[in-house]
Amino acid sequence: VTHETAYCFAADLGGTKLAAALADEHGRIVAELTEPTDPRGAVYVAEQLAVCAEKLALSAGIDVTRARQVMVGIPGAVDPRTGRISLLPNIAGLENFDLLGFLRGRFGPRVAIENDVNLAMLGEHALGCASQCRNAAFLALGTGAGLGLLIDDKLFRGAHGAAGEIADLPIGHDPTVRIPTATGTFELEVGSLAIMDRYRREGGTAAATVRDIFRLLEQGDDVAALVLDATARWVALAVVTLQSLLDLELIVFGGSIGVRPELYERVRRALPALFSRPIAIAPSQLGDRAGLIGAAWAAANALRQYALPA
Amino acid sequence: VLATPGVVNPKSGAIEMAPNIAGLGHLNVVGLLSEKLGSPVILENDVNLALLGEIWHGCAQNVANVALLALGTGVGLGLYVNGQLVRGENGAAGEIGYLPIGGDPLQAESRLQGCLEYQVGAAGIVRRYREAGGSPVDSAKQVFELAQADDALAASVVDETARLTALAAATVIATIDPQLLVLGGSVGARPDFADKVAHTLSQLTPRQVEIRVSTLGARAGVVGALSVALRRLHDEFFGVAELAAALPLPSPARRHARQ
Repeated sequence: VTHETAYCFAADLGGTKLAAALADEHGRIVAELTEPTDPRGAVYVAEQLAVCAEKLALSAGIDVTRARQVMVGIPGAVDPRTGRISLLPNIAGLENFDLLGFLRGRFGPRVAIENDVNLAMLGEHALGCASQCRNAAFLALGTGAGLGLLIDDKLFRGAHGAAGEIADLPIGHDPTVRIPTATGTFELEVGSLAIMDRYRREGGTAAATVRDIFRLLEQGDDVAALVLDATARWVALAVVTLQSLLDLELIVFGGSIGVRPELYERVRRALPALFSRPIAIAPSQLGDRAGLIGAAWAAANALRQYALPA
Repeated sequence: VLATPGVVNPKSGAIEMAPNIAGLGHLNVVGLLSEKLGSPVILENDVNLALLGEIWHGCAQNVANVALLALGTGVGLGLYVNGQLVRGENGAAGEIGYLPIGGDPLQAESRLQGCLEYQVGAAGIVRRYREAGGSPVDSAKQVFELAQADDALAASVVDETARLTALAAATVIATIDPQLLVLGGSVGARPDFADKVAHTLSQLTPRQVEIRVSTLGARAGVVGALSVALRRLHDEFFGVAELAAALPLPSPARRHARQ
């Protein structure tokens, strides 16, 4: 088998949605699909990944055995030494499931699992708005909060693969008083549940989801504006924190909430008063496909290094 | 090699953001010194050098991923990842004095000196003790001594300083995920203080991170500066640019054997 015949299977596994793609050796996507994540969790989700690969191969007219490199993004931390998954509350049972072993059984040895926001950072670095950067971050805000870090042109994972797990950043009300829970202090201020809570506390009744809040904002709803102002203030403090720690060139905003201009424009306006030097932020250019594109790109990179050793 | 507070801009060589030494921002320090000494001069952030010192001869030997949180006159962070210091885009990585912790980040003092440093820097400790009605002390050291002598006011100032320092450490742990966090600086390396920080931190984050107190203390920066100077000498004598990795520095064991 020569390297020309090889493809990669890339997936971005979320708590509610699974996006998967088949890409060629340059990371160009040849087939792509999105479906709801199997709510039964662990082994069912793993099986779903394998079925997705078969569906994609069929639609592209490629034998699935030609998918020789697999890259799966997950919403949790992956220990770079052991491959062990942690900090993954959104998919039942996956923390204690040997996903790597399962995928190797199906696809062969060339399988990698990576944090989804790290892959989104790679996607923006490869093909999006961070292509010129050596030091950047991808700040994902949606159900939860996560961060992908690029330091000196390389993905930065931390000692246990938990770098950028900013849900428990001590930014929020009384972080030393609150008992640590699965949800961290910062996520309790800016996660989608927190935004809905804030909306109800302020007396709002018309919105059932964060998406509704954005829609109401467009109609000039005062409560929606108040809620977004408050959320943006917490996010701005997190941005200042990141900039103090790491002196970044660009912080890319992504995730279903982070990518909304109504939010990041509020954050942008709040920053000059909080920090004496300029901080560059920008919305994700690849949007909700950033993670998938990053996965395909990383898989193709790994494939080329394997097929054509330097 | 010279250690300096503030930020050494890797592009211009200028020292920026050093509010604790008057007039430093306008001096061409490298030019002046190399003229006086007649040898090449390297400027590096003081906390970065202290971290390199701990890695060479102190408590962070053989650790791939380590952060040093230094608390003294000011507050700073050194980051060492996979064999390299993390400097950031303009050399300002680790300038945690500007973390929005401990006060109103919109205040003028916060913008100038940094929100966190305004509270936990030595001047901040003294100011908070005086503002709380304490005796007119001159140094943070005195506040710590009073706290040990059962001055309740001083103890509460020290506790609050430890709490804010733990919050800063928690942002480092959440963002960087270090293998080891070293507490250093004249205030940070006090064992009683470090215990308080570690205790608060254990309540703040569920993550397990090893915390050690600097073993080199005030010498960490000098030892680190020496390691950088030695590396530079190696480079000049042996043309190390040709090698894949830097020559190893003499190990502490060998140094002690010679003494």
